[in-house]
Amino acid sequence: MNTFFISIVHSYGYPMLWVTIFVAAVGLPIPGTLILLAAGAFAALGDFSLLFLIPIGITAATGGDNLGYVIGRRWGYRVLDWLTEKRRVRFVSPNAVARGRIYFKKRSGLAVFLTRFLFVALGGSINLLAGAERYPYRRFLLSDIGGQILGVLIPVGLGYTFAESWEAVGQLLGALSALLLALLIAIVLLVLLIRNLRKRQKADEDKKASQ
Amino acid sequence: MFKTGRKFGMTRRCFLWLSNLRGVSSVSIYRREKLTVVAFLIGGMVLLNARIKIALLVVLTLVALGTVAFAAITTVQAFHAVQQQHARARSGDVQAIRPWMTVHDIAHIYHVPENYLYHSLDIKDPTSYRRDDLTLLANRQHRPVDKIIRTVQASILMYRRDPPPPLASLTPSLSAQLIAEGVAA
Repeated sequence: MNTFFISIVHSYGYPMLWVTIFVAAVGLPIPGTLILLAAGAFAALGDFSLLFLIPIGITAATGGDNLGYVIGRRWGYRVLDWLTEKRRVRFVSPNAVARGRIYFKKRSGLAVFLTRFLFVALGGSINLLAGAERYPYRRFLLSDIGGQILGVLIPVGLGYTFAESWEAVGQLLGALSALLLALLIAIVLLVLLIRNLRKRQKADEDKKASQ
Repeated sequence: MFKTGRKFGMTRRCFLWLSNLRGVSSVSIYRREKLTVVAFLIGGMVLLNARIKIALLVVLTLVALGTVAFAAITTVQAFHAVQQQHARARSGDVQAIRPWMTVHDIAHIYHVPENYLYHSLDIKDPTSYRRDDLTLLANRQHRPVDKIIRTVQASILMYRRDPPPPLASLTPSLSAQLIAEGVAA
């Protein structure tokens, strides 16, 4: 599937590049970073020009993010309301959803910024969530553009530098992303474990003290 | 006991089924202790005490740390692969040719005239193939992409060994002969 997108970008040039990056940014499972990496390599080999490539990448990615935001704003709040409704069997408690929403409101800007170039797989979901939470559009746009500048420059720059071996660089970026995500999850679990151990220790001490 | 189940959203049938399970038979004891809702079990919620929750967290943390170690090893291997691939391409190793490359890209990387490569692939009108990578080119010519890559590799090696005279002076039979000699070698 990756080969298909790279082939059509190579064959049909800038318009197809813009369309694929736009669709990838909306949240569909298209390897946007890999395509930008390949485009950077093609620029080094003379098939594309960096002067056009970078603005095309940034405008397409930002456009896709904005569409995701609009979709979230229009329909996302219904999903959040459904999650917080009282029902006999719930997948997530309303308290957890409410805490999640408060947490997201505090860190929305950072979440939007980081998911443009670091945790790219979460970008589509964050756009929808930002829209659903009515995150102020100007702040969203600012974080989005700032993140996407890095999100485009990094893969295009790497592709340009390692032109002939951009595929191996793509695999390295994928491995790095997986490593960072696994590290984040491990840290969260460790923090939860330590908190629970301390809570249990405190409960035992209170029990002993009351006896 | 049933009221406890109703409080946490269980149906009567589900609650009785849970009560009969081994290890969950003492649900009536658990309802007097402080409980933590942790997970679902088909149509309801299983109530676990703090000890089991900590044990679960320990297991998950160990799994996460194992995943981090695996991801770190994969990253290091990927880094070595980048170094190797880059060195091979820079040294002009023809084994580094990939299906995503166009003939123009190959000519640029391996310093071989573009028309020479088109000639070796028996393409008389290169204009319509300029933006096609080797995969598309293979599809259009109804040939396997591996065969196209081998032909290109052979022609590059032959070009290096014995650069031909200017292409204008090559007859089709002479160029075919030169390429056949290169493939046989």
